[in-house]
Amino acid sequence: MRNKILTLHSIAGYAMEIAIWKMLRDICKCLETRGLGLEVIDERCCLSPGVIQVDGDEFRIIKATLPNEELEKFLAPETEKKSLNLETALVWSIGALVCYMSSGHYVFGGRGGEYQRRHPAVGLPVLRKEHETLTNIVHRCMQYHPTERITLSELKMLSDQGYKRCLEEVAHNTFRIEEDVRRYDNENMQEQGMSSSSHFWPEEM
Amino acid sequence: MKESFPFYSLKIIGGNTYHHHGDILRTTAEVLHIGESADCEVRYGNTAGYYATILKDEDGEGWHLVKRSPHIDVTIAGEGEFGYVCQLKDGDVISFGNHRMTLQFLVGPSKAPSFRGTIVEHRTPHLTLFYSLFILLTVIVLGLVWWQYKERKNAEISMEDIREMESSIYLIKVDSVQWICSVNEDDSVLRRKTLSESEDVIGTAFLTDDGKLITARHCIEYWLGNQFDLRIPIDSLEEINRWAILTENYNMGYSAADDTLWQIRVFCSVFAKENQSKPVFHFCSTDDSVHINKQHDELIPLADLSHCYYWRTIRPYFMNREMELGDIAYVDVPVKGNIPMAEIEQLKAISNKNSLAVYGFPITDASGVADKKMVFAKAQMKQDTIGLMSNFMFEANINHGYSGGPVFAKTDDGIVVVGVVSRADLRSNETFKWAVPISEIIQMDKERKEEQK
Repeated sequence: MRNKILTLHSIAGYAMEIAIWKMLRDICKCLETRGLGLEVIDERCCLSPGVIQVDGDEFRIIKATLPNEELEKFLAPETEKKSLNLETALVWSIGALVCYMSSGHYVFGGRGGEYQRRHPAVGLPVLRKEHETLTNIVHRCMQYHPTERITLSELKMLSDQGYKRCLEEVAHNTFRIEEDVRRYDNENMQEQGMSSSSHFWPEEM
Repeated sequence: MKESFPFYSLKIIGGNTYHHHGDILRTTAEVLHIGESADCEVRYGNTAGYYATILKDEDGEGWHLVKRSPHIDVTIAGEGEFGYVCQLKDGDVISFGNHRMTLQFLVGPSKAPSFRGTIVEHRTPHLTLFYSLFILLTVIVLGLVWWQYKERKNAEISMEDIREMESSIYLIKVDSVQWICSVNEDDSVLRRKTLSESEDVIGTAFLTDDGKLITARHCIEYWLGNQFDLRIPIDSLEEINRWAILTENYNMGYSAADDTLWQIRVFCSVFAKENQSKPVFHFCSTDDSVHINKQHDELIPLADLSHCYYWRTIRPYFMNREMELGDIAYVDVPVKGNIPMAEIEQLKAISNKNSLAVYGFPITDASGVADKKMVFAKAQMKQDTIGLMSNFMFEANINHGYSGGPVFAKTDDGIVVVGVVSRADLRSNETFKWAVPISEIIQMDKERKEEQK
């Protein structure tokens, strides 16, 4: 039985680009479907890796009790203010999640939005060069001023586009790679003097 | 309570350029890469990129596999393709795309490992199987050798085994020879001639526990095995040979008087080991007490231009081994020895696995004079079993003088005599000798007793 719940922590730093796009897409869809007042979202308007379950190739927001230390790493800089905009704070959290998922590191050395609040001019995180589009999205999510941030609907639209693009690229490249694998295996078998019938022998032989 | 396994193993199934089938990677690492990059612990190629990474769970209670390439399908046998991450459990077989090589995930044991990082145990099942078979065969062969050694050791006769029988083994010596012509009816002697120069003929005799003094017949009638040149006129032959030929001829009717009986009479003395100056027994070859079986003798006609002579022999030939059975003689004596004769069933059970031993008085002096010392010699039968209808051959480093001596064998019932040392024939040499099976004595004795009844 594989009954253990794996969260975003389990793939942080090792996630494929398509998985990040899928996470963005699934989270946006979930927020859109269930509304921003989703009970599982922390009262301080934060999404953290511990509440995002990875089930196969699906991402879900789940209810979980998390320590404050983890939440603070994904809190938007304006969270302390009383006049809180739920959507913009969540968008900042999502940007921090994308960073964490891609690099395995917490933004601003794990000090979250508080650091940005103290240093508004601090540079925003940059992802791997292969994830340039994602870097742009992260930058738009993590703007210091909430009004300058990307909207959730636009984020959903971009994640849809990004995920589809990735799927097309995968479909295009997979056939070529499978051909390479087949050729590589054949060459190996010839090098080792193995015939295809070796598959049929039991392991003990 | 959950068990915590500090490390896991990946068993290679199939193999490729980088890994052999059967190899096992054991690792305590929290991160293990699988793919084509040089830093992958499990490699599938030589380009770049990762297929998947095995990571320790956040709670430290297990491992999970993260898919790293969208182009390579990662599947777990029995569960199909998974998404981006999958919890691993003991025994999972993981395959990557179309690659032939698969990995089996094995956890534990729970004890602390004696290594850190990743180690590779090269296990080639072929060699393991080969080594197992080799060790098994070696053990079997050694066992068989040990068993054979033990069997042989058990069957081997030592000098000590025969020590108490020494007193029943004697030296037999021909004292004199007479050629006698007597009248058949009253047995009165008409003519008598004594050999002027008697040879120093010696051999061995032994006394059985039923009072039979047994020896080889050629130790008494020593001319039986002689060879001579037919081109030499009979008058020029050695005296004993001439007597032997004429005796046969006269008895077959080539004599002036048909009612005469011609005999060669041999007087023998038998000496004990301890005192070889005073004989223990005396006997004469023509006495009724000397039992000889002449049924196996051969009368050979010797063609001559003017005459036909007959020559009696027990000389062994290639073509007729049964003739050798006649090379045996025994005398009933009033005392009993302590050498037991083998029963017929015991004889049949003797095989070449039994080691034999002979005892006798070898002639070691170059001049042909016996040193009259009793010598023990180990022997080995050259046939599978002892045939009761023919002599058996054995190997022993013995020479003249052992003739008539006992051939001992060790049986479950103890040491018994299985044969009497006979002569060498054209096939045998210094080391290969013939022996008459002791069954011949048993048979002669049985027939004689039936005749007496």
